[in-house]
Amino acid sequence: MLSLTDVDKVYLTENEAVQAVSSINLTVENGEFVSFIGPSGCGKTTVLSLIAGLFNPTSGKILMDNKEITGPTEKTGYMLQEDYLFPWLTIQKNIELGLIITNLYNEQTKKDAMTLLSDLGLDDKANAFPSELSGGMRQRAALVRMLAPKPSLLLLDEPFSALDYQTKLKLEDLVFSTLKQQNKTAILVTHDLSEAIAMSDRIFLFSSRPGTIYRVFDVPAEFKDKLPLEVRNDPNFHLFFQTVWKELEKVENQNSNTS
Amino acid sequence: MKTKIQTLHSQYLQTKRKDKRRVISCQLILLGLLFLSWELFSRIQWLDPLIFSMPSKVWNLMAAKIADGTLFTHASVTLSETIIGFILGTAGGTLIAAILWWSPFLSKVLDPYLVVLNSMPKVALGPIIIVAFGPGMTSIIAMGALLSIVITTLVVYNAFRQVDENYKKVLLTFGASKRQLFHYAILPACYPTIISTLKVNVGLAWVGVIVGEFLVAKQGLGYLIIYGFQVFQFQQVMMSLIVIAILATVMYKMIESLEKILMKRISKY
Ligand SMILES: Nc1ncnc2c1ncn2[C@@H]1O[C@H](COP(=O)(O)OP(=O)(O)OP(=O)(O)O)[C@@H](O)[C@H]1O
Ligand SMILES: [Mg+2]
Repeated sequence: MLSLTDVDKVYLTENEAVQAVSSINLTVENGEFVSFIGPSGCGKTTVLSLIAGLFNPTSGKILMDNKEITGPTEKTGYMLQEDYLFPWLTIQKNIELGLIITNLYNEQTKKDAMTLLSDLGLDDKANAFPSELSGGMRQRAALVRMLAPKPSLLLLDEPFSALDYQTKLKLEDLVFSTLKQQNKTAILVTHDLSEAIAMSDRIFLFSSRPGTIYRVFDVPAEFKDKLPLEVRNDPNFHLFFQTVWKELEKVENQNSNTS
Repeated sequence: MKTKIQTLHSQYLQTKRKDKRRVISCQLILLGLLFLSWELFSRIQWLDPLIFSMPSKVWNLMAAKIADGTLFTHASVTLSETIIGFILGTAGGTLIAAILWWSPFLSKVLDPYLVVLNSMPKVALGPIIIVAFGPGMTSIIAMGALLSIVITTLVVYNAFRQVDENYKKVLLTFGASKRQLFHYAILPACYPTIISTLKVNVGLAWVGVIVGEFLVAKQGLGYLIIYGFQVFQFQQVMMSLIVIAILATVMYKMIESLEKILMKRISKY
């Protein structure tokens, strides 16, 4: 289980001190899939980076399985908006790099990673270079790289936003089923409300200045076990979408009034 | 239809080949004319033969020097000094850049010094280098290396700093150490920059080595030039210049193809 208690983060720069997020309180159960949505600059990436251990909170506590997070561990995987596969390494070498750095490189993990690669339909691309792959394939390869050290918590920072719509829908289904099957905990940051509803169990709506959690929505139980594409086509999808949308608009308005 | 396209293509290739042949023959004719008029004008005293000599005499001298082996010795001394200076400059510059990247504090402290060193005409430091390293080969190599080391440091360090933050972030989320960051992200991302400094550095190394030989050497092509100048033997100056022109060009072309090979290997992207 992941829990954040009264987490604050202040960025210090030469010109100013920016209160990026304040009083963040949240818990994520094991195996749960949650989403962060909210206006640009409300601190979603900041919270993910804190959970990843890339830097420490200014105040507050972040616990994973009752242990405080003080730095990056192999237990969390992080996926960025773009794949950031290393262009000078083959897909296979890219994937193995994560294993090498987490000190988990051995025959077994290597084999498991290659199995996952072929599960995601990329077995013939192991020796290709990233530039030889399409955007969707590259993002899938990046997913394998993240999953290879077998993290239990996955942090996804807008992983589909650089893809075209069709690829994005397909990849949503693929990521969703892969993560459910391996019973991973996941936090997804997205600008796309439909995506948040389609993929997650709970949605955290952030408001900005300073970034804080404004509302939490429970996604209707009937959506939870369905694939994202099925959820998008569910007759009740629109109703729930409207409910969240109204709140989202409120946050955005509040934002534009103050700035 | 298909055959028509093929004939068009072969015609196109033929004109290209013809064009290339024309360019090359003009280049050769120009070279021949140059030497011929040099010889001619010297003989009829339009050019002072004492100063400009003439190709036939230069050629005789070169043949004699090749025969007694001295040209080979001088050329190989200069060539090895240049190669060593060039390698030291490139590797040293890259190493210093790595140290600066490693320690932001050090890089801030050294920044003004690097700026001064870079703007300074480094051959002016020649006498100091000679005093420091003694009047010999070491000084000459140091001159060759000095010219390229500062600019390499600056260029490569800048490249290190401009590596996309997100590549580092990918590795950091796996818990990478600073050494691993450098090894797996920073350095490979900058190979193209490092390779592209090679070509610049080889030219700079020649400048440094020849100037160094002017100042101290007992051997080498730079020494032949300065000695020929002092005893008014301009054949020898001209001969050395021709040898330098040939060697420098060959070396530049070799570095260029090395660059192409290396780039091809790393630029699958
Ligand atoms: N390294 C940094 N230094 C200073 N300020 C920062 C830094 N990173 C983020 N901020 C500030 O902190 C706030 C939150 O940024 P963050 O990137 O977490 O927002 P976000 O919700 O991820 O935005 P987006 O949806 O655009 O990705 C912003 O006001 C931003 O300007
Ligand atoms: Mg963000």
